[in-house]
Amino acid sequence: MTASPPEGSVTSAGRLSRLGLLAAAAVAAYVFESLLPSPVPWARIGLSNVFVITALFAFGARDALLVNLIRVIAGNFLMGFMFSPAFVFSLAGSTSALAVMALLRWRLVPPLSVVGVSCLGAVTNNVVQVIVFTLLFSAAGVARGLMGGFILLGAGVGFFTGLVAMAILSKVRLETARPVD
Amino acid sequence: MLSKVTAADLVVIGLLVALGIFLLGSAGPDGAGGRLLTVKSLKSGILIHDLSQDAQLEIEGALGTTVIVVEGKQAAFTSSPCPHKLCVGKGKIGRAGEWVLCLPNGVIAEISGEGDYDGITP
Repeated sequence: MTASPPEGSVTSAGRLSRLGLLAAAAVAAYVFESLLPSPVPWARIGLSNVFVITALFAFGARDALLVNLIRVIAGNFLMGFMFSPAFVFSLAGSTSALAVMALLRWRLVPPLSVVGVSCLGAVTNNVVQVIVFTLLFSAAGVARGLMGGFILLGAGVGFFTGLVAMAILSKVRLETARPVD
Repeated sequence: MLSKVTAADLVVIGLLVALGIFLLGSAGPDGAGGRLLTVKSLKSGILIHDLSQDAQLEIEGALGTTVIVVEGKQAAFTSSPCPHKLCVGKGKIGRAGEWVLCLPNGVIAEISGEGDYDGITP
């Protein structure tokens, strides 16, 4: 007759509310950023990634995946991009980026920090999007021209979002919810 | 891990930036996008040639054979049966939008592809 749910399960109210907070923040950042004017329409800072990275480091890969899915689905619904190429790009890019970041956090985080993981994640996101572009539009020549720029952009953007995530992780006591996985 | 950028981070960022710059350089104006040399002859039709492939093209025109040499991503008319050889005198072309015309032999060659500036600036 023990009613308390197991530690770290989805029914843990504290963790659930923190996840909800991160997901809401990610969706808000996603929509806010989509509304910002940008010199190139598809180049964005990836502010919402801050919250995915925060979730990954504070709660683990499974929760980060939830925050990411909620962000991509709710964000694209709100912006009216659902099931458009933009949605496919963001789902493919962000899911692969998260997979890479989860692996890095698991194996390489003592040498690397949040910033390095974030950079590699952002670059993965961009590279995968260029690959998806090539598959959708079969324009390999254009894709090759874009790749270098997208890697540079990813490194810069990942550095910035990594710093912000690092600041959140060090200032806010999210880790009291649950240690790593 | 949660409060400081580490040396390994900087190494990773450095490598990524180097890779990005390398790829940008290798896919620059003369990169994979590539330029095409389009040769039109009133007698023998249209020939499209990849400018990055060195070649010697022999084009049949109204008066005879015009020889176009493609070398080092540039093309030039090297011999022509026309009286004034203005086309040979034009020299090498390589940028998008540049062209050479030989009116007597009815041969025009132009470069297409992603331009350095636009379609007008030579």
